[in-house]
Amino acid sequence: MKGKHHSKLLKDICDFLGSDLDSPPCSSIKEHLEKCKNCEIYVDKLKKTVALYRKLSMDTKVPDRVNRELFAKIYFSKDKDKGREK
Amino acid sequence: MVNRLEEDKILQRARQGDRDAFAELVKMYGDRIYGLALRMTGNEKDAEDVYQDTFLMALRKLDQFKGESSFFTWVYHIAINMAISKIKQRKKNFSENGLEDPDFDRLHQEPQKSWPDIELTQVDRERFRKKLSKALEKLPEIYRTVFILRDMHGLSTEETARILEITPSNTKIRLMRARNFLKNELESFLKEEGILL
Ligand SMILES: [Zn+2]
Repeated sequence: MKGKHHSKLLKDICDFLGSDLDSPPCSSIKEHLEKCKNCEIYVDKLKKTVALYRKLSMDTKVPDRVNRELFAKIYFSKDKDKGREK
Repeated sequence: MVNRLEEDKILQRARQGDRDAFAELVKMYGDRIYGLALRMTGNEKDAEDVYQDTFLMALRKLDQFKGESSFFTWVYHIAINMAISKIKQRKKNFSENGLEDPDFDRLHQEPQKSWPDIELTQVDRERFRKKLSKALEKLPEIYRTVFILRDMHGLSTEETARILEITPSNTKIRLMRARNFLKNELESFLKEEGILL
């Protein structure tokens, strides 16, 4: 597979690789991905990479201390507003 | 999760100066905003600042929020800008280092080996998390931000493009390169650990 068709296909594959990997690719890519074991494995690796990072991000919680400080500031700004109204 | 209608009610109360209502909004979206701040800045101290400053600014500017986007998107936008200015403050080299496209020629030359299913627990969990974070930090900021928004936070291409003020196709290219980079980083780590041969 060389030349214009190949570079167009490559562009489409790149486009697909920057989309949601579970979204249906256009028919020409789909055809290639189904036939080409290497590309299929490559996409699978990207999916696994993304999945690991998702797990990492879902674990993140705001530390309690940070929230306590923030809430104190939020309620304090209310008192300041009141002070200004008087 | 509350629906849009309930959120509007909470917002309305918050606009009228009800701090409890605003605190509700913080509780709803706080973890996601903090997670974003932590990934983008790469350290807890800066993440705290970005997180708190974001919601305090949102509180101050609440009357400017017209509801054209969702409240979350609006706050998110504030957080991203805060995080970016934080990074710029401390980094000398805020450069647009190029990342490579996946090498399709090489990919097609030799048979690829697939990965097994990988769990965070496979390597000592903390060490694995650190490794993932480190790899993310290695990404030039313009790629990292796209990856964080798209893949870690699940925003759409269009949403991400709008927030970062770039085109959707630029967003896709950055995402593709970022994914490819992180995959390579992960692959060499997994090889070091003996999980991949
Ligand atoms: Zn292929």
